Formats: sequence, C-alpha cells, structure tokens
Amino acid sequence: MEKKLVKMSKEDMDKIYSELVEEFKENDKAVKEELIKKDRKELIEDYQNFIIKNKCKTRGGKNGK
Amino acid sequence: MANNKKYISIDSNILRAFLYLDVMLKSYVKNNGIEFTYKELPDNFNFTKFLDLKNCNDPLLRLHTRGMCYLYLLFKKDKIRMYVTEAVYNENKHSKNCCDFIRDNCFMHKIMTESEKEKFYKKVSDLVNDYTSPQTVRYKGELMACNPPMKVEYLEHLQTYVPTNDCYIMAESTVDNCTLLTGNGKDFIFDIKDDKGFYNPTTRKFVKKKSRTLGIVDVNIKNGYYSTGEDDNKIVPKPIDIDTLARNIQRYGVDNFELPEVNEEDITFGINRLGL
Repeated sequence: MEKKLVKMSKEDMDKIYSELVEEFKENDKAVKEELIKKDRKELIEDYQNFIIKNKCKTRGGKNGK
Repeated sequence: MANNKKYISIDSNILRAFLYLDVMLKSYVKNNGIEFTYKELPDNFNFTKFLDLKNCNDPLLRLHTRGMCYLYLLFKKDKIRMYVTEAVYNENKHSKNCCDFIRDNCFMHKIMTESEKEKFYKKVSDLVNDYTSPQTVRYKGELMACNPPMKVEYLEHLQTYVPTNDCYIMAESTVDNCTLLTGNGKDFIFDIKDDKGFYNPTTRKFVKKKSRTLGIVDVNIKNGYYSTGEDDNKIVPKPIDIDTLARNIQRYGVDNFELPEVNEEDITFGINRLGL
C-alpha cells in the first residue's frame, strides 16, 4: 500500500459517484411506492428472505442461523 | 465463546457513503495493482493519501472525512460491526450495490420465528407510536406536555399522517439495543424549529441542542430500553452523529463508546419544547 500513492483522479471519483447516485435514484423511486403500499409485516418478511437467500451474517451467528 | 463485539446500527446515508468509499477503494486497488489487508493498516490510516475525499461529491465523506475513514476502517477490521435493520434494508433493497455491500460487510437481525416476529413488530410499533406522539415530562416536579421527537408524513392516498421510515429505523435500532449512526441530523438529532442553540465562546462555535436525540432517549428510558452503567448512569440506545461516535471511540475505546452523555437534567431540558 505504501509504494504507489498516486491520487485517484477527480473524474474517476465523480464517475463512480454518478453511477451510484443514478442507481440510488432508481432505488428510491421503487422503494417509495413499496414502503407506502406494503404492510410492515411484509417488509420484515422481505428482510428475512434476503438474509436467508444471501446467507447474511446475523447477530450472534452466521448465515442466517 | 461469548461474542462481545459492539454493533452499530447504520442509517441509509451512512450505508451509501461507506459504499461509495468502498467502491472507490476497490477501483483504486484494482487499477494500481496494490495488495493489502485492512487488518495491517493502522486505525488512523489516512485514505486521503490516494483519495481526495475533501473534494468528493458525497457530503458525508467530504465534511466528515476523518471520522468516516476511521469508522470505515474499524468496521473493515471487525473491531465494531455495522448493523442493518429491516427499515434500512427496505430503503435500499432495489440497489444491487447496496445489497451486495450489506451482504458482504454488515450484520443483520437473526431469523425470527412467527411469534418472535409478532413480538418484535409490537415492540417496534409501540416505540414508533411514542416517538410520534406528544410526550409528557416531569419538569421541576410538574408534568408538562412537549412535542414528539420524530416526524410523521402526510399520505395523500390514505389522507392521513403516518410515521416516517426514520421512526422505524430508530425503533428497530432501539429494540435491538444499538446506537444508531446517522448523517441525518435534522430528522434524528436536531429540531431546526425548536433548537435555538447557543454560542459557545470557548470553541467559538454555534452549538445546537440535540432535542430530537434527547426526546428519543426519554421515550426509550420510559419504555425500559436502557442499561445501567457505572455510577448508576443510564446507557440508552440513541442516534449519534459521525464525529461524536468517532471521537468517543478514539477517546474511550471500542468497548466503551456508548457513553451516558445525556443526564436526567439534559433530558428534561431537551424535550421540554415549551420554552419554560
């Protein structure tokens, strides 16, 4: 990590940011509708399904266990 | 072996700022053929040597560069853990990058049975209700009314006011006994309308009172969500800003950052919105 410390260009940083922001905008549009329409219990169900499907790390254990 | 790692719940704006930093670092490392592990870096490693974060577009990384880099590194080194609640996941679930970042870096609630889900849902709903209802506090021996610490929003199609998703983020963090790291001061920490603030002549800065935080702390104590630390101080799950959390960890260590920084008098003073 110490040998090459050439800074990332501003253009590269901006490019990454604008791609992410574009994705966030799309996300926010989709999510806004969903948060209004879906019941909170359904949202908890979606959360749990994501944990199980992706074998996410959980508090006190791993892989959704 | 008991797991004593500290979990910090993160708000969406923190998640997205960390994601941006993560993507930039991965890109930099890939393009420059660098190999390293986070564990070998010192906690105060300066990412700004190769990322000009002071000029980046993300406001949290730009304004809180040192704090964000420090916390990111602690997370990467598994000294503290990022916790993502249901409400934060659901705010970001249609972003592939966010989902990948959550999967690879964050911790989530353990899988619940149907009855656990019901209990969790009830606890969260009760807290959300309290966060958005007028509160009564005891002030100088008398019960007084004050404004709710968190906001509701109007839904046109239902023609009614409902709690914002932020209320659920706070309630779920509280039920899961986590400090909530947020970059959204105006909805979690300050109340622009009510916090007149004061000028601190020593630091020469205008200091805002944290009346939303204080209100949330009061609701959490009333509902029994606190532990008792040394000197009988109450340690309460609460929203915390980037610089305060980074400073607390630097000063007191990763095991003792949940400071009882709010005392009873502050709480009463903070949530008394009547200006008495």
